Amino acid sequence: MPEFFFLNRAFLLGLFAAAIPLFIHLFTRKKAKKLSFSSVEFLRDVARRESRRLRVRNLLLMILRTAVICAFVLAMARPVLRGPLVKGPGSTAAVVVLDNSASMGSLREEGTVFDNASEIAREIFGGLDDKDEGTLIPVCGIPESAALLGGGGRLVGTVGFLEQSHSSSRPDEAVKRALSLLKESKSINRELYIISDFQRNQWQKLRVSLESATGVSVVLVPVLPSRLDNLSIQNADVIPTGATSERILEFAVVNHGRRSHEGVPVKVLADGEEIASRYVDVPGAGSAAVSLELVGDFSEIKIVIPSDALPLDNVRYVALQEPKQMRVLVLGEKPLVGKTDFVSLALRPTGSATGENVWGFFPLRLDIDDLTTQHLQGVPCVVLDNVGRFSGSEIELLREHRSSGGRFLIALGDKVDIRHYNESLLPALFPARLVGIEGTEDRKGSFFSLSASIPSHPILRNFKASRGEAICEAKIYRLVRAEAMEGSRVVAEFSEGLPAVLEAEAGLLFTSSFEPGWNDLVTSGAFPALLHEMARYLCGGGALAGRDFEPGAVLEEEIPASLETPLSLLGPEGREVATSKRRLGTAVHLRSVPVDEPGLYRLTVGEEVVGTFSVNLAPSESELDPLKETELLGTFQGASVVGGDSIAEAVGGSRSGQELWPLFLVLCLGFMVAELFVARSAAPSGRDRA
Amino acid sequence: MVERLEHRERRFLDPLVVSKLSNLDLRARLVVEGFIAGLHRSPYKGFSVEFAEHRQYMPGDPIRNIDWKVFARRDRFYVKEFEEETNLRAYILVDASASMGYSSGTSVTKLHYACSLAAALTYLMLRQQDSVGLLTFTSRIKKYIPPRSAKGHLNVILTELERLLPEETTNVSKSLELLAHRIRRRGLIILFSDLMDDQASVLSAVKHFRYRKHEVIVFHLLDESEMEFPFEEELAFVDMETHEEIIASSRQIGTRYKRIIKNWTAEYRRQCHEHLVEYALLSTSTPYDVALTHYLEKRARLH
Repeated sequence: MPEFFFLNRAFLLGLFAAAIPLFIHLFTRKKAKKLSFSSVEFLRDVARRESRRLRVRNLLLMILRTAVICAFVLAMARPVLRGPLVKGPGSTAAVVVLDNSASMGSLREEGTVFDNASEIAREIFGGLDDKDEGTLIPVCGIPESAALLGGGGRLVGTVGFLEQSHSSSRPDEAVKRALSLLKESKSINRELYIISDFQRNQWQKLRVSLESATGVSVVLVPVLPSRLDNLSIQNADVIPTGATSERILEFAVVNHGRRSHEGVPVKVLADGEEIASRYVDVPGAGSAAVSLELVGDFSEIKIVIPSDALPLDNVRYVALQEPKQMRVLVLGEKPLVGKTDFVSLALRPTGSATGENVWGFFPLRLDIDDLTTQHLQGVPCVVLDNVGRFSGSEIELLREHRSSGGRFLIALGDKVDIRHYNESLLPALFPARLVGIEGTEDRKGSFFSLSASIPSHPILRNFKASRGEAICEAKIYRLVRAEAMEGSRVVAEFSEGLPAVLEAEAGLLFTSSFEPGWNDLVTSGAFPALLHEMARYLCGGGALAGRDFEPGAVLEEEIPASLETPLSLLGPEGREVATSKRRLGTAVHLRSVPVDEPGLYRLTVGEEVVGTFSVNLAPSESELDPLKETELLGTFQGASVVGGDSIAEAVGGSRSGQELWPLFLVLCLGFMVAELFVARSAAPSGRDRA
Repeated sequence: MVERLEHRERRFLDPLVVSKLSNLDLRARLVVEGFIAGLHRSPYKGFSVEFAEHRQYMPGDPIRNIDWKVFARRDRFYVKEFEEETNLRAYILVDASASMGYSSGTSVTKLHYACSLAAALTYLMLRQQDSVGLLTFTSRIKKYIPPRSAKGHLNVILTELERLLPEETTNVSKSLELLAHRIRRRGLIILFSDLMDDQASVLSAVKHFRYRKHEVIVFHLLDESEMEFPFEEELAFVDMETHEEIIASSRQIGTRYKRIIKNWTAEYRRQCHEHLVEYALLSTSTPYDVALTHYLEKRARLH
């Protein structure tokens, strides 16, 4: 069936201009001047005949003029007729979307799936002539300036420059970019080749519609590994036990295939030396959990299982970080008799068997009236816990402490004198304004939930909740409505958009209370975690905790300004990773380029390692199960599936077509001549309506 | 010199020039005097005389007027005095339908032209002692003034003509039929109309007059634009009588219209000629003397 489409579709908008003659014909009919005449008896017959002739002529003129415009616009839109019966090779634009995600590293008889896919891409580009154009778009790491390049030989060379990525696929982006390039192309044959392992979990959720890809022939080239059975190591975590030097390493060996594996050897290496090994049985489509005690002072863990279909996920890296001592001064009001000091309790629980401080916090509770300069010395974080009013000397002490680098966590509550805070404390410490109390203490009524305004903020990023989503189930019944001012920002919010946590250079302001009267947060499990993150952040300890990332991630951290120089980020092979730094008050925001290689990344100050990041393959990449052909055709409607072996026949087999713009131009001229003929022969006055 | 004088006098026969005079009486006089002055030989001779009275002979009186019978009886010279009389009864018929009010703007309306000409003829005929009557009509007879030859009759006719306004539709044939039945004595029928009516009916009515031995002069009055159709743009032509509106491109229909009008007037001319009816197609810009000449030619044939 021949296919008809336009190369310059934007010009089709010009078809609206075809309405101009119709518009003129219908709406700009001149109102005839009235003339009193003695008798229209003699005019009647003549006029009737003439008017009929005139109407026909005007209609004909309108049609011809519309046809002139239409033919011209269509010629400009470069219509193309393509099909088996249409002779002429026509120019070709071929865009190859090459999946270079981590899963393409799975093994075939010879080389990896990615190697095979690259070869197919070369073959496709090799079929192009010099007049043709094309480009290669990787699924991971799509270049910002992807554009169609001319010449098949040149394109073959570009394939060699593409490296396999360890990141996850972004097929949506790649296909969209490819289609948009093809849409802009003026070639008659526009071809999109997608070469991939078509992992089910990545490609099934593709959200790109091919409906807009009129005139583009989509060819899917599945390249599969020789076997789909794959084991991976996932969910690795280190849990403190309460003893300073004792931790538990937990991880799982996950079977992504249906066949069960017995006696899979697992090795654990700490700081490069094997410290443990296990044999685990992994059921088909299941997993085996492994738990190991870590005794010793390690900073890096590497877990290894034997190589299988996808070697990249057979190694897992874990970064460890020793907790450091963080002193926290909690200032409250007298008396605290008969009441629980939830802040101190959360920072230093007394439940551990050994009584050792696992979390690294050393809180000290003090009445505000007893505060002296000595108490503030060497304390990086001061918590103002529901303090009603401050004397002038107390505010002066706090201001001096702020000047010397100390940071504050201000928690409000029922004792807080809002006016006093607005007039005295906040102007001295924190650029924010308190408006009034919201909510009631009646727990039967409505309540607010706590959610993140900036989910990536260091105090919130470990709560796996997206923006607007509650980070915990705690119910907040009362709070103080606060407004951020210049120099402060909202980090977390309560329902209805009320600020929950404000951040300024001086620290953090929590607008509800750390006492149970106003909420059940302090009695919920989320409270210690939130308070720990807040305190660690204010103590400048956030940067030193080891964290796990996926390839393609940007490593971001806020670190104390004192560590800024000579700070560097080193990759798995010891190569320095490019970073950018930005001053944020007393902290420095460090941001790396996207890291791709799995392994351990070390943040070093001179020779000393002050932080470690681990980068491991995304779990989704371990699933090698591909989409079946019917499923592929369901996802890419109108596409064809071609095996890698028969790509040579597929390429160029359907390349044909003829541009029709000369025909439309001739038609346009023909209509113009006809219009001139009709206009001149029928209208001696030359004054026409349309 | 004579030519220049003639030219100046003929100027007063131009309808546009004459129309500047508001008084119809003056207009009639101007037309007639101008017309007479322009003639090389005066047609004003008198046609019959009737004895009026005797008066004593005065030196210088023509001897042929001496009544010898009285001289025989009285032995004194008396001369006979005669009163002119006429045997012509003229009926001036003026169509006052709405279509007669048409003017293209470059000339007077057809009705104005007809009235001026009717007044001039009335003046001329009364001066010749002819009896003149007037009938104005539209689709009905508006006014009928029986013919009289008294000098005061001029005012009666002129007053009526001055009062005349174009209105209603035309029914020439009906009006002529009615008049034909009303007139017993043989006379001269002078019809001023644009004849925008059913041609067959009009001609039938005219023939009816001829059947009754009347002499008929038809002054077919048309505006120049009605004959030449000089319009160019698209116009909505509104019928002055029926108010029917026809939109047409003048340029497109002009030629065909002119052909129709030409055929139409030619048919009138032919039929009138066949039945010995004097037919004069006049445009409203035609000088009045042309019409008067027609009259005089016809008048001459009557005697």
